[in-house]
Order: sequence, then C-alpha cells, then structure tokens
Amino acid sequence: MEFNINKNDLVEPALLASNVSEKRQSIPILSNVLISAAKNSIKITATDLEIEYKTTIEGVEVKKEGEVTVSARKLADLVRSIPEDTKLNFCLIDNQIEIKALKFQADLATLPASDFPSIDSADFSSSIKISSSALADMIGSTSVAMAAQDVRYYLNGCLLETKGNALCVVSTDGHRLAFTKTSIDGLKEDFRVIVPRKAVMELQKIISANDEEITLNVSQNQINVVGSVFSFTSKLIEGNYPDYEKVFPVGDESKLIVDKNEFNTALSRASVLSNEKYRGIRLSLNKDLLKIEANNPEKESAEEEIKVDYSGPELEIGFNISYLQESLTTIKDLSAEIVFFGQESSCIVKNKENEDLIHVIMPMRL
Amino acid sequence: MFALVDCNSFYASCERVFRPDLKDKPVVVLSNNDGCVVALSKEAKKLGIKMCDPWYQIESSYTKKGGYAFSSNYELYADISARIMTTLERLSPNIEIYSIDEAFLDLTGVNNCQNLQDFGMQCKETIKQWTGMPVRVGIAPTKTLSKIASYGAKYYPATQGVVDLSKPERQKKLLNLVPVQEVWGVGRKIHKRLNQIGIRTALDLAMIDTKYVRNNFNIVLAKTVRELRGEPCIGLEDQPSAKKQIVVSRTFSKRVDDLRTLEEAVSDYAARAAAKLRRENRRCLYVSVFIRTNPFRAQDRQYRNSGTTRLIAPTSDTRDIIQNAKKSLRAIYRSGFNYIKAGILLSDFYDDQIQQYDFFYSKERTLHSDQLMNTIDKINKKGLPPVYFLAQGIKRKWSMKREIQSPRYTTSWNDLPKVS
Repeated sequence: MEFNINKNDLVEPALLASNVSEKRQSIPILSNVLISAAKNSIKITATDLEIEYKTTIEGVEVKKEGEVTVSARKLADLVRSIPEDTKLNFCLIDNQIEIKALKFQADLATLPASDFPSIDSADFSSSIKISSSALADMIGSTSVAMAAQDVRYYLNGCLLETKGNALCVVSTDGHRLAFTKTSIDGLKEDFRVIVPRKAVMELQKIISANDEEITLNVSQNQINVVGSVFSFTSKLIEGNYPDYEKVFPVGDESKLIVDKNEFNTALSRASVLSNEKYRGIRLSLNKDLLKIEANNPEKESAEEEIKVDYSGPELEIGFNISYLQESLTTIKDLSAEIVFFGQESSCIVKNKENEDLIHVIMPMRL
Repeated sequence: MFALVDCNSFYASCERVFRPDLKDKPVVVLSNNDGCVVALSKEAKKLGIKMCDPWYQIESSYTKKGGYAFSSNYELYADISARIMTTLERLSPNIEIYSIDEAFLDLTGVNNCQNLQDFGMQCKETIKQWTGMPVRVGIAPTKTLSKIASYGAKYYPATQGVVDLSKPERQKKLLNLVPVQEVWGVGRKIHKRLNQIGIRTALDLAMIDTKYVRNNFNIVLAKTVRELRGEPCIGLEDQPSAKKQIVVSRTFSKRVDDLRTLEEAVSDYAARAAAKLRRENRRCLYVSVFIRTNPFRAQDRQYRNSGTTRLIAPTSDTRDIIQNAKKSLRAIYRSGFNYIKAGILLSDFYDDQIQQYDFFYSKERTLHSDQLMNTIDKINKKGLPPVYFLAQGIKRKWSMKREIQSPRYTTSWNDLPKVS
C-alpha cells in the first residue's frame, strides 16, 4: 500500500477516528484505525465495538492499493503536528508503515487489516433526514445533562424519539434534564432509542464538521448516521428511559428574567467560595432583587445582589452552580428566563430564541 | 506551648482499672480472634513477651509464669478513652484528640499562672484519680518536641512521667539521646535515608539545613526539623478531620466456604458500618466488599478480591448498604475456597444535611429512611437487646472468637462490677 495525501485532508478524519478508537487497549487492535487505499480514495475506519466511524477521503493519489491498521492516537498526533498543506507519503514496507513529510520520516508499527473487527450491520426499520447542523445543535444543547457512569445505565446516554412530526432529544442525570425538539416535514417514523454517551459526544463532533443533509437510520439495537463522506454506527442502550414528561414541574409559576452574562459571572464569583464537593448556592428572590449566596466548610462566604425582573412571592432556593451555569451556556439570547415553582420544586430554564429547548433543574437542600 | 498526654500501655492499663489485683502483674491484650499480642504491660515485657507474638505459641509458658491475658475489649477501651479526654477538656480548653490514648493540649496562657512541670503533675494525678489510668505528660513549645518530651517521660523513671522541655538547653540534651527514628513524622523509609547521610539522633536532624531537607526529602520533614528547633509549624486540630472512609472487617472464628455465611458476615459488617456512618452524620456513595483466604495456610488454594458498587444517591440507610454489599460480594465470590476474612468499606462521603434532589429518587423515601434509621439507632443506643436485620444472621457462628474477654465494666448494666 502506498499513497500521497495532503495533511489538511487527513487531519480531521484522523482526529475523529482517534476519538472513536478504544483508548484502554483491552484489545490492542481497537486502539488502531484501519486505513484502506483503493483507486483514488482512502477509507479510514475506527471502532471500539460499541461505535464505528467510517470516512472516505477522495482525491488521494493512490500508488498501490492495500489496507493496514495503525495506532489511531499516534497517527492523529503526527498528522496534526505536520505543517499545513504538506504532502504526506504513506508507504507500507514489510510490517511497518512509513510516513514521510518534507524532511520528516516516521515508521509506525501495524497490525493486519484482516484482524480489524466491524460491527454487524442491522436491519434499519426507520429512516429520517435532517440537517447536520440542526442535529448538532440539538445534541449540543442537551448532552450536558447526560449522566456519566450512573448505576441507572439507561441515563448514561441521550434519548432520541419521534413525537408527531417532531424529533425530540432528551438527556438527564436525575438532577437536571434537557429537552429539545425540532419538527421535520413529513416525518412518519416512530422510534424511541437511547444512544450511549460516547456515541453522542463523538457524533456531535462528526456532524459538526460539515453542514449537509444527513440520514438517521434506526433499528431495534443500532443507530446509523450517514453523511456524504462518513458513516457512523452505534449500538443502543437497551432499557426503559424514564417518563421524562412527568419531570416537568407544574403549579404556580414565578418568572425571573435576568441578564444572562451578569448572572453567569456572579455565579462564577460565588462559586469560588462554595463547597467544592456539592457546589451549592442559595438564591433569594424578593421583588426585583436576586441575592446569590455561597459558603463553604472553612466558614468562608460570598454574597452578591443583582437587579432582575421577578414576578412572584419571596423565594429562597438552593442549586448546584454548575447545573445553572451549564444550562445558561445553551441560551443564545442575552437574557435568561427562569421559572420557579416553589422552594422544593424544580425550576425551568427557558430559551427565548428557541422555545423548544428547556432545561429543568432540581434544587438542593442546603 | 503544648502538652502531649499519652497513656502507658493503654489496653493493658484499661484491663487493670477494674482489676486492682493485677497491679505489678504481667498483662497482655490479644488481637481479634485471640491471634497475637497487641498490647503488653512492662511486667509482661520483662517475661520476654513481644508485640505480635502469636498467642498459641506463648500461651502455656506465659500463663505458667503467672501472666494474665485478655481478648480485646474495644468497648471498654473506647469508654475509658472518652473519660480521659473529658477529664483533659476540664484541664485545658483546647485539646486535640490524636488517637485513642493520646491527646495534645494547648497550654497558651497556662505558663503565665502556673509552673508547667506542676501543671503536668496535676494532669497526671487528676487522670489517675478520676479514671484510674496511668499517663505521662510531655510539655514543649511544639507538638513534635512534646512527643520527644513524652519519650523522655517514658524511658527515664526519674522524671516520674512528666517532662517539661520549655527550656532550649533541656531540649538539646534530650534530643541528643533520642534516636532519629523515634521522631514524630520520621517513618521507616526516611529513617533509612537519614541514616545514609549520617543523621542518627533527633539532635542531628534538628541541625540540618531546612532548605536541604525541602529539596532532598519533603516539606513535611522540613516542618519536623523546624519543630525540633522549637519553631511551631503544626497547630492544634481541635476539629477531628472528617473521615474519608469507614472500614469494618473481621477475621472469622473458623474458615468459611459458603456464600450464605459470607453474606451474613458481610451484611453484619455493613450494618455496623452504616451505623458508624450515621453517627458521623454522613452518607456514602460507594460500598466496597473484600474477602480473602488465609495466606498462612499453605495447604489451601488462595484467593482474594474486592468489589465496589456505586449507589444511585448518597445513602446511610442500612438496607441500601446491605443490599449493595451483597451485590458486590456475589460478584467476587468464588466457591471452593476457605475464606478467613471479609470486610466492608464505605467511601465518598456526603453531608446528610446537604442533599441534591433527584427526579427519579424520591425525597419521601429519604425522609422515611432517615426516620427508620434514627429509630433503630435510638433503640440500639439504649443498651436494650439490639434491633438488627435478618441478613446479619441470628447465631453468627462465624463471629469473632474472644474467649478471655473482660466484662464491659462501664458500658453494660449486666457487667457492672459487684462488691461482695
């Protein structure tokens, strides 16, 4: 196998593939990527047996066809460190791959391509088309609430489901929940699947690279996303996602409108003196004044008042600062709207610009 | 100025408090399951008994020579320790309980109104009179030096158990007599390295350049050097630092090979650990279990393993902890082994007053659980027949062997000493 390729064409696929590959090296070949050169393109494949990423790079000068696997991390690190627009020469000599660029030369160990595993393809029963930027936005604004390593394994992922003519994305770790939906013309498909955490994070990066129409194929135990140059497959989490609609609070609303940046920076200041483990903060609302208080076991404290627009009874409520701040980052508007339902109930962080995106946050007892 | 109050042969002395007939007699205290010697009086030392001597090896010769032995009676020791600490709190407003048998006292102000040597004597005599326990007192301007003073009080009978090192010339004299490995904060590894560069006594250590120590050893040892010179670097910690983990582990009285018995033992340890956790007003997020065979039985196949479960939310509910401990145990249990020890470890603690609410884990459940656990703890505190979970077993044949345990003189009505 031998081919010449421009660094700029390879750097992104190599990085994305490296992220997908298995880093813990439980099976050595999973930390490698498969490079297949044929005609005038090369195909890069990476998998950790749960997810699989395949991409094709066209316009490559292939001198000799062939395929081999090489360390995903080393390939990505090398390509990234080569100057822009440099021509790279890849050549398989014996069991090593030689990479040449300008005066640089490297020899990397390989493992045989025939040993590289692939995920068995599934019977995809549903298929929808959506713009990659829309899906990337939906994932980007909700994935923050996903659980990580929770015993409730079904929370360690994002729920993707269709409702009427809308595609909904939901994630929750039990303490907060993010929900968003977008309507898709002529949507007839009906599915409700949980995509695992790692797949969600990698998919977000992969589809953010290009703005194009992509296809989502869903089967009972797999999801497959296809773009013009890539195909991404992930196994699904089997389990019942909780009935998230029950989580949306109801009752008497008290609405707070606050300058997003002012609130965010005040929270950052207070967070310095909050308890590092719990990250708790007390919000007191009275008329048009919001008081933010934090304290820690060293008996240090911080307090700040900001002018806000608040309609509702006097309220004192505790939250995890990170949850508040992370929900604020998904708001594109300059002001944030937070709706409270009493001291013991969760609040809703709303997005004026996008009414289909909400974050629900459970309070803390401080 | 600090004073270190340290009990002499603590466990052995506790055994003597209600047995005045044992005065000047050899006394040893044995580890769990009466395995080996963990504490001994100076009379026992004279008979050639050493720490960690296996009991079965010395039992017959020791008893023939008139020695007394006791299984460990931690309930008694903890209670006597608490009595000593309460007495000390009356003598000095600021004390740091350093271990079951040691406490540091802050003597700020005492030296203005009382001779420190006299204060030390008063401490010693008050504790002897109020609790029956012999203690020694080391007084010095730093905590590390007070440890040195206590060493002096232990090894030089002429001091009558009280050494005041407030004067630099006395410090120097004693430091020169103390081997460097006896200095507080000098462990085995550091001792070896210090020896290699010719540091043999505490005085040698006090003389080295602190910059050299910081660069070649560590900042902690540099602090020790300064402290030995009389510059206080380590303050009194009046708040005991919060525990990072709780471990309950025991050796079985006999080898155990079936899962059911192991589950019973682990559940019992889990219940004890959960009660400890609640006493600290904490909740934990991780429950770990470990089991092992007896490495000293070469004829047995060996196995040891541990397993951990993460809970949905921090808990101190015995039911949750038992349930998850059993889950971890089942994951690591292998049949066909003779297990001799099991234990439980709770970690990642959260304050029970601070709580992050969860959508799917109801507040009401936590509330009910708190009420139930509170009630159980209250009943068990009263000294009535204890309330326990069936998972902990009824007969508990695996439970520790303590064949020669003394009565719980101070904590059980039934064990009150009788005057005949």
